[in-house]
Amino acid sequence: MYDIQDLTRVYHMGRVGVRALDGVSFTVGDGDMVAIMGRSGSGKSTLLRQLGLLDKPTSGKIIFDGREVTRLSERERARLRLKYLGYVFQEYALLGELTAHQNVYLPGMMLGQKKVDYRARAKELLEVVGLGARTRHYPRELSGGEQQRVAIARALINNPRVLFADEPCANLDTISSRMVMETLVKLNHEMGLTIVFVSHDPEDKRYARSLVLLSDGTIEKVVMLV
Amino acid sequence: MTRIMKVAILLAFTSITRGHVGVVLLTILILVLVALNLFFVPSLLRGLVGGANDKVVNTYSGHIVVESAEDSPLIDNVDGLATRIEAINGVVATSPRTNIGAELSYDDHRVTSVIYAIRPEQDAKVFTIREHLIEGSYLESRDLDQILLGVQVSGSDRENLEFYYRSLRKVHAGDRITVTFNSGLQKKYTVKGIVYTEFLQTDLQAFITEREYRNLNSLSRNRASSIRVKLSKDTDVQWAVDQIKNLKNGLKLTTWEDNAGIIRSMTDSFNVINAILNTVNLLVAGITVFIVTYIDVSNRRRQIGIQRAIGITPYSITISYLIRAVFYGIVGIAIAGAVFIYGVVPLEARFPFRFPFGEAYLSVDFSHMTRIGLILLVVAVIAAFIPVRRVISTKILDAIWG
Repeated sequence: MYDIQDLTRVYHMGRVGVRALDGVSFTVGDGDMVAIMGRSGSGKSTLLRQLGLLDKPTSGKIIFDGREVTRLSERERARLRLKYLGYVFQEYALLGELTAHQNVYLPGMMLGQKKVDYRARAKELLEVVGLGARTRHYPRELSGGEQQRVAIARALINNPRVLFADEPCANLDTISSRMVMETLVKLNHEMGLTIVFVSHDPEDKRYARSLVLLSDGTIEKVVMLV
Repeated sequence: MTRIMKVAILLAFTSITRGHVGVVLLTILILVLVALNLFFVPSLLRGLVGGANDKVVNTYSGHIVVESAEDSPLIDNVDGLATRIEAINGVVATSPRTNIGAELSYDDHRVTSVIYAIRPEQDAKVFTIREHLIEGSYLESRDLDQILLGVQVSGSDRENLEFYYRSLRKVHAGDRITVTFNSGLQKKYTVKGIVYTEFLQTDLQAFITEREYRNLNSLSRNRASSIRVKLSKDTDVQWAVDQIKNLKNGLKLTTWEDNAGIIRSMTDSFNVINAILNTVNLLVAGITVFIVTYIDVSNRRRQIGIQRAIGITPYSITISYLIRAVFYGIVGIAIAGAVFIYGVVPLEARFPFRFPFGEAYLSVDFSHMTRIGLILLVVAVIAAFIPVRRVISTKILDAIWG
């Protein structure tokens, strides 16, 4: 599904160039659940943003379903994000003026697929993540774990091919973290959804099928866990 | 397109209903004040110009002044001509007048003035001078040895008058003044009444009856130096001028606008001032909406970044802000319009502004208000568009994480 070839991302801070990623190459298969791990500053989130088409690499190639998507225009990238990719941010990133239900169905409304009742689907997804009774609540009325599960439901509204989760449990307590990770596992196992998540907690590798370990912007190792 | 609009409407609606109440109210308040300003100043200037023009027509010249264009300054057979003018469609009344140069004196004070010999009943059909009496009574056709004075001539102990120190100062109704005509003839007159039209050029005039003038000059019978013509509201002045021209050769016709003199140059200046103030006010409105939207959008930078990250198109986001701007604009303009029509206008009517040519009342022109409202809406939309485009054009990651 994903073929990452020699990916490099250099951030320019004044005259100084910082290599956040340096020649990263690996593949992600259909239905995989990949954990990207490494120490703080190793380039985990930077790598995920390249895969999620939120940022453009300095060099290298990203091939998605056999098509190179590295240099697409912002409009095309937005369309791909909307149709094929779901993204869960570390800090929930819900829209505070929308209810949980509206937050979830907004990307569905945007895609506007015929014969798809995005409102009904949003309710179903909120049921799937265990928030069927909280549809009319606003983000500030939900706990951190609940908000993160709303964000997961939102990422699923358009039936994406891949779900990216950037340290989804970083701001959560242990119980909420476990619920969020178990939700992701359930989606991967039961719906066959490809999931790529970033975590700094080594314990989280137990949820993954494969592991990409980063160190200083380069791949230290890629391990198949199951 | 439908989905873009649907998303935009949802985002706009929720940001208005669930957004920061203070920001919403502040934005609307600013637009109300700007719109009020845009309604008020032109209405005042229009009221001022309209009031001054009315004074010119109703107290000074009438709609049309008919004079002799021949060597003799007097129109012969004035009664016959006046009758024929009155037969023209749209002519309400006519009043022959003869102006006589004279010096008026009382105690040690002297004033040079124009005295009009009039037919009081006929003159009152063309002019409203009779309604502006502040002392005594109006002239009657049979009156002899009686004179009606403008307040700027009599003074009447009103030291705040513009020409008080060039007037007779302490003359009141019933006093006797001396009039020395340019012919050298001198005569005592009893002041029958004093008028205060609040139009300077009229208040500098004096009036005697035509009968009195015939006693002074027996050759004046059926002659006058001018005929003042009053038209109905919907009659075109230029059309009436052409009709009168066809009645007799050797006539010189001028309209009230030709006779407006200082008022005309003043109204031209007011129109320029009006245009400048409107432009400046719209610029201020645009900049204000820009600043408010810019601050609002800057505070929502992260939200916009998230919207883009989850696939909401820049079009939808931009349109949502434009819908907000239109909403704020419509609410602001509607409130301003209501406050202006039901609050400011009645209040100003109770306590009107005073000018040398009378009181000025705010003149409400709905077509002008609609035009101003639409322009303000366009300005608000443009002012909202610029900052939104700026944030939209930044990278998603920069928008979310700064």
